[in-house]
Amino acid sequence: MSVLDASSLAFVPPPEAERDLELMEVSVAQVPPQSLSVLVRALTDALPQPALQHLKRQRAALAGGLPAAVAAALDSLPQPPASHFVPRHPPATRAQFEAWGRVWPLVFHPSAAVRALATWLPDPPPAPAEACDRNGGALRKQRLGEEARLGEAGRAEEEAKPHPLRHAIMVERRRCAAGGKRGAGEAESGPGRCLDGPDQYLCNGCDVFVTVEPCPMCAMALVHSRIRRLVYALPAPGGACGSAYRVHTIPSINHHYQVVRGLLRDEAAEALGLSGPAASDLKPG
Amino acid sequence: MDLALSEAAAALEAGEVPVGCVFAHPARGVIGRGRNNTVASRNGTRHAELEAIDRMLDVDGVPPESVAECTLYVTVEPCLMCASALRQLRVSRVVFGAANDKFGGCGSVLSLHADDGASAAGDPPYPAVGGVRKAEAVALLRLFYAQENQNAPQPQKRTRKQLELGAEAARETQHLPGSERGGREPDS
Repeated sequence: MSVLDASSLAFVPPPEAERDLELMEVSVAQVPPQSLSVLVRALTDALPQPALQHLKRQRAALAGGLPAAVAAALDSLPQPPASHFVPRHPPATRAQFEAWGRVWPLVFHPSAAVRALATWLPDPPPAPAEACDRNGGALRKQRLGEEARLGEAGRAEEEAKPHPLRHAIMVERRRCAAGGKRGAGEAESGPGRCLDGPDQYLCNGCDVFVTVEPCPMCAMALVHSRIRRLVYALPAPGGACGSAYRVHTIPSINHHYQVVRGLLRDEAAEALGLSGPAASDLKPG
Repeated sequence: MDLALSEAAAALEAGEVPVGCVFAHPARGVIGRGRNNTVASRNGTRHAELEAIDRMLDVDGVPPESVAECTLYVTVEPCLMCASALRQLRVSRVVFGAANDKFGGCGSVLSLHADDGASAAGDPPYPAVGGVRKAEAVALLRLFYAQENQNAPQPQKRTRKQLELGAEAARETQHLPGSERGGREPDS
């Protein structure tokens, strides 16, 4: 295994974390501060805005405006609402919150998937061989440099009964369970600690390394197994962890895992006999 | 769908989440059946569909081409994993009972049966129809969640889910016409 090149790694965040600022038009009116609390309560009751929960209802008038006397005179006049542009979408990341907040005051509630990114483990992802050895090796078949799809690698021995769903992740997941052990990469302490007893059928805390981006079947199998982190080398068209979908970040699903791509990309491409990292004929693993 | 529901009932007996399925071949009738087996296998991916597929391909020696000619009858909408597996196997059609708001891959969360994204991998789309014998499928799930799943990893949402399922089942029994509930599927 070669030296880890951290610059080639990229997180695969939920799609909303990569969204650019998009504006929408709303009505704003200037009101005297003393009537603000009554007005905001009345507006919340009369005109609830479930899609605009990320916007604060009011913003202080811009400082350094008109002289107080002029402003007071204007305040006494009935003012028609003016239009104003505000961020259409809630900020998903702190960076978005800070940048978009300059347009209009915002509320920020990071999603579980974004929080998972923020609590990224302090250590860099270990090189796969090391990770497997340290953790008992049950995920060894997925380490880089081997065929991502055992269905192809083991075609000769499987010829009698071919099974098109023998992807590396599915095979290895069954082997973990059949061995009567918990998943391989389970940490013995820390956030990913595996619980004894009823949770044995999970792979809590596992880190999974695979050469090719998983297909939706394998990506969802990793959700069902409650892994902590997936690291893959090569993206694949139709892949479910960054290419066609981001199964690891879907809000309605009850578990999210971190995804890092690009680890040992060139080595994996070479091992799989691909001319370059952007092989378009690659099938998701 | 009768047979799929019996499989689901058997899963319930065994302490598993009650989901069952059968693969019906146009010429040979039912050639595969499966029920949820995550607890006994200690593997959260052993859903009814994958159980049935593996038994057909590995034990019964059914060639994948024959599986591809089948219609799958399953009591609950396939999850993303199973929906993708079915597409890669190129099954002809999927008929399911209850939709699955949180995990469903045939229209609820994603539409892996029909999506262009999934076709990037080269597998053709398949038609998926839901709502068949839904009330009975939901009733089994309700029974299961009323018993409390000792093996479920995430207890905190059960109360809400139980309520949702209860409400859904109540709606179904009120609004589903009797003829649909008693309707027979030609292949099952």
